[in-house]
Amino acid sequence: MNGATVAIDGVTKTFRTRGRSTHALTSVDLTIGNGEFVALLGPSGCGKSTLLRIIGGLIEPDQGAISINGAGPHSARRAKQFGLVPQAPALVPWRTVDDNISFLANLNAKAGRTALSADRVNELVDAVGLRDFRQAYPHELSGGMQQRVALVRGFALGAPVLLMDEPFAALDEITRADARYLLLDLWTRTGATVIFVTHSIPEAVILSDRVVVMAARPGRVAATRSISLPRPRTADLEDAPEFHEHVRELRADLREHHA
Amino acid sequence: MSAPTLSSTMGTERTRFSLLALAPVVGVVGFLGLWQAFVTVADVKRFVLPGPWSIAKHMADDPGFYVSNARATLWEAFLGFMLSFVVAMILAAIMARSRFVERAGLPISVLIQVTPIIAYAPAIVIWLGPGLRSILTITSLVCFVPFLVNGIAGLRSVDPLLLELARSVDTSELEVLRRLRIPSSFPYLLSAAKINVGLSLIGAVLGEFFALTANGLGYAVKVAQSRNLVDQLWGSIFTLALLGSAATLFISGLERVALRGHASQRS
Repeated sequence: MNGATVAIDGVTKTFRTRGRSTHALTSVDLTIGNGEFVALLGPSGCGKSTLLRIIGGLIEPDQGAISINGAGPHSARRAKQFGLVPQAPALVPWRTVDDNISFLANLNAKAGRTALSADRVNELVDAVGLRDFRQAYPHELSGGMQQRVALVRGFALGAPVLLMDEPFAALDEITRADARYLLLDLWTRTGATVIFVTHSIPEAVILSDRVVVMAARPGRVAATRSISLPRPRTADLEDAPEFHEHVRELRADLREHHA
Repeated sequence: MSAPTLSSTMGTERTRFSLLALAPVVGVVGFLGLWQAFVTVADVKRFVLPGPWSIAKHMADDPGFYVSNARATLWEAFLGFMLSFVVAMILAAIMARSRFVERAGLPISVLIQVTPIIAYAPAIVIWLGPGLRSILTITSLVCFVPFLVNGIAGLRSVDPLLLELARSVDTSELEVLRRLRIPSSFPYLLSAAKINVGLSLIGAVLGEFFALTANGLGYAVKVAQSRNLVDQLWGSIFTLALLGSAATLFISGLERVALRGHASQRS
């Protein structure tokens, strides 16, 4: 496996703005295994995006520690251990699909880390059906295709930990359903550890090995559920009774902890 | 049945497009025609207001005079424009990074903009002496604020998600500037450049008025005024108008080429 183990230990974060303080996260403990696909599921304001950014060393926690294969988030970031897939595609508008995919990887290469080989990147590009669009500019692509570019860009870094912040939030339901299986395909091919923030229960179930249910005010881990569906996951599984059982269970978890 | 309808619609589209392309020419020719007609019909004396036709004839009589003066003025305008661009971009890069420096610098740039250049141009000439140095200083001051303000806005116009992505792979500030901020600022800088093409010509002509040089179209205008050479006055004005139009067209062409990939940003 080409992933990494992520250990979160007692992470607490409070945001203060104009005298008001928001308890974004209160003593969060969580261990994510090498190559595991974990979803952080919860309503907005539960601190799931904040947790993602703390893991990636983009936000400082007030208390607690993060370890990525034993290293802190900052040194892990410096060692190019993270790939980020944001909410919107965030492609560079004046660069082609190919250039966008290699853009971050090239910045990485400058600092001494080699990303995936050209062959591996080609494989990923083909897997998500972008082969004929490599020379296209972002504005020539649909929203779904732009997000596929963003996915490949994340995986092409060859980073052991991928942080995904509701990457499909802006897509329509039909496009979104396809994107999930493309993501799983990329994950299977690379073996990275994926931490996936979402507020969609079915999405969390169909993608993940484990779903971490988070609750708001204060942001905390409310429950952790292992998903027993077999892999590889296919669209057929969305009709399986097990799938619906997991959805029901998670819905109950969310309702129970919703303030 | 549907095929001919389609092609005739396309035909109309094409006619409308070529008419649109011709519209600016129609405007200019119409304006000059009206002017000529007014001068002829109202019998305005040549030394009061010559018609465009007699101005054109006068220019054709002595093209060398206008070419050499245009070259001098264009060179000053170009140097002032470039000097202003370089200085403004360096300052914009610093000001885009720090709100404090930006807030400290903005009043100065507002002062530069609101104080009429024509008032402090003589002071610059007294300080820096006659000649090119003063002209370039005046020209670059005139162009400075549009470049600075658009430069700051452009450098800050990068998608925040892209900045976070760059941070997630620990990209250096310098790389972010080079690969994201500077390219993002192109549309802003080209808008500023379009404004500054005209302003740099104003600066160069103004500089020639005050800086006691013996060439350039500004100098030609000044001489024409003092000796009542109406033909030379209008010949110089026409030459300046041509220079400004050509430079504006050039920048517009540059914009079209450079911003091809920016199409999504403009929409």
